[in-house]
Amino acid sequence: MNIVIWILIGTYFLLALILRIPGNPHKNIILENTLPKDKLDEPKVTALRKAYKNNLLKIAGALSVLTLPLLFVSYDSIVMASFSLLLVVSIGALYGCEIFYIHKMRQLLIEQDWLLQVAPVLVDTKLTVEKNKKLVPVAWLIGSLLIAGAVLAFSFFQFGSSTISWTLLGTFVLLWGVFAAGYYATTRIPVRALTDDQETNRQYNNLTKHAWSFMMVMLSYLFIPTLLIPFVTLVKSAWLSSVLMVGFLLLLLAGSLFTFYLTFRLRKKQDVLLEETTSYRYNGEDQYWKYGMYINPDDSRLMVPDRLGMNLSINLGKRSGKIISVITLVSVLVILIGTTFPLFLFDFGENQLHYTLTDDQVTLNAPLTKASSIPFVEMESVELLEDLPNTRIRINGMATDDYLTGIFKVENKRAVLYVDRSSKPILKITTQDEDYYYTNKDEAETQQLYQALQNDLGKSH
Amino acid sequence: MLLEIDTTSATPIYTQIRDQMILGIAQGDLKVAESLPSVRQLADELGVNMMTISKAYTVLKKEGYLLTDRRKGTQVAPYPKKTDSFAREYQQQLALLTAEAAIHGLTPEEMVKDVVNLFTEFRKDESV
Repeated sequence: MNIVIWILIGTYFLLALILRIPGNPHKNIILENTLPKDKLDEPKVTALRKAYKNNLLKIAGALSVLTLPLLFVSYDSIVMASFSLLLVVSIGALYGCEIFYIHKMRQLLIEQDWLLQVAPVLVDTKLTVEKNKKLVPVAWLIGSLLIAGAVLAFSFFQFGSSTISWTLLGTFVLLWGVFAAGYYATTRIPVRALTDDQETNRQYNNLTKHAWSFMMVMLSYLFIPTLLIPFVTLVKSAWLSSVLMVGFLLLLLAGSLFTFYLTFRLRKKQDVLLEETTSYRYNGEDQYWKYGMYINPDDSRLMVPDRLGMNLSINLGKRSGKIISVITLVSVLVILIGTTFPLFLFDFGENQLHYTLTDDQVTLNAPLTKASSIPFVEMESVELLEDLPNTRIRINGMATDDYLTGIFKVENKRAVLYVDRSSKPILKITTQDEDYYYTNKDEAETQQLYQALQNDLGKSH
Repeated sequence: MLLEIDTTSATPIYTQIRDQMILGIAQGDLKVAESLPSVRQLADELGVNMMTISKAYTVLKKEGYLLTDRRKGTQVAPYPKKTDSFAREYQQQLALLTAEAAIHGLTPEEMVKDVVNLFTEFRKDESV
């Protein structure tokens, strides 16, 4: 579980680093406030930026100190519950810091009389007609649809109409839908004249459109390997399947990093463009960003480009924007609680890995895991192991430092595990199609079940 | 052409679009058969409801300044002929403007001079 704690601490600093970005000027905006170009380097502005960025790191540091004692907690359930709680607290604290400094910057602008006049919106009709000229062709997006479609067809052919196939289909529809929606949102990003110079505006727009549509298309291809993961379980060699899994993860990681690189490059190129112009037009948007997110009920768009030049933001002033955000938030909470709850059952429930013996079968149980009823006639052998075989892949189940439950692949054979890792020996029941591994929390109970099964097996064979 | 829309102005947005497009056509910033943004594109650009843009385009089409082609979208129409309804509207607007000019002490000569100047500005493309 130590790894979880280090991930959490890493997350604090990652969040702090991401939130430091609005502290740097982009499009003459610092901390969601638009400044006159000649005031960007004023000492008071610099001091405020510095204080903001330092405080973010201090908060991340303080949270890390709070988190470290978890290294000495031995209950997974408490560690995971604290993980969820601290994650929420850290997001709240760091985001709170951002809002505080957005308001401080606003105050500074008012005190110094640096507020800008709102320029009327300038629309270049020619540029608006041609605004999507530099988009990556939509046909590229169809390519990923076809490839993923082929993978899905193969999945239904291989696994039939099973949970795996339907899960794959669901994952595919959701992910591909997100990227297709992202592509569509990119087509609708306005040209929004930022300067009085039309050539600068045209180049600025082309950069955004090309980079964003390219990213959406690239991501739509990148998720295809995740659809291939279930097929890895079919690979006979455990070594090869591990290599494939690591390969897929590395590919996903590389894709995410490349996306970051693309957005940073876009932001940099656009900053260079804007640096050359003197006629920056302020369109009065600061008021909609005062909470660090876009809230404008009068804007009909759902997705708007954020002001870091690196992301699309949801318009929380719109009803659909609110609904989507609430659904996302609730899903995250459900996932966090859903993953923590079973751990409490394991850690503090009464003998959660239990079995029921009847005249002709044994039933094995674990929390939130499907029970297995194994008739004696199907058992080929029953044995006690000192250790679990090391070549195992989790397919659909839970693997923590303390417990292994659910469906795994152990030594290339499908297996259902009900194992407390601190309890020895481990009972292994072999049947033709799959193996079962079981331990009771009480070692004597495991032994007892083994004896009982030995006797019954002798009778039925 | 460049449309400059002030979303905080008391003049409705659709009127601002209509007026500026007519000026654009007269000044030659919008050429005959030039494509214009679709209703959705312009709505996205200004961050306003599509109905607002649709209203401006409908008015401009009714007055004969714009055309909608199924394939090419909205375009600038060839200069419309003088219709009766235009003649009426023109008389009304001119009467109002002249009244204001008279009240503000402009002489007929001054007004004619302004009109001539504007005409040269508007018809500069035609004389080439």
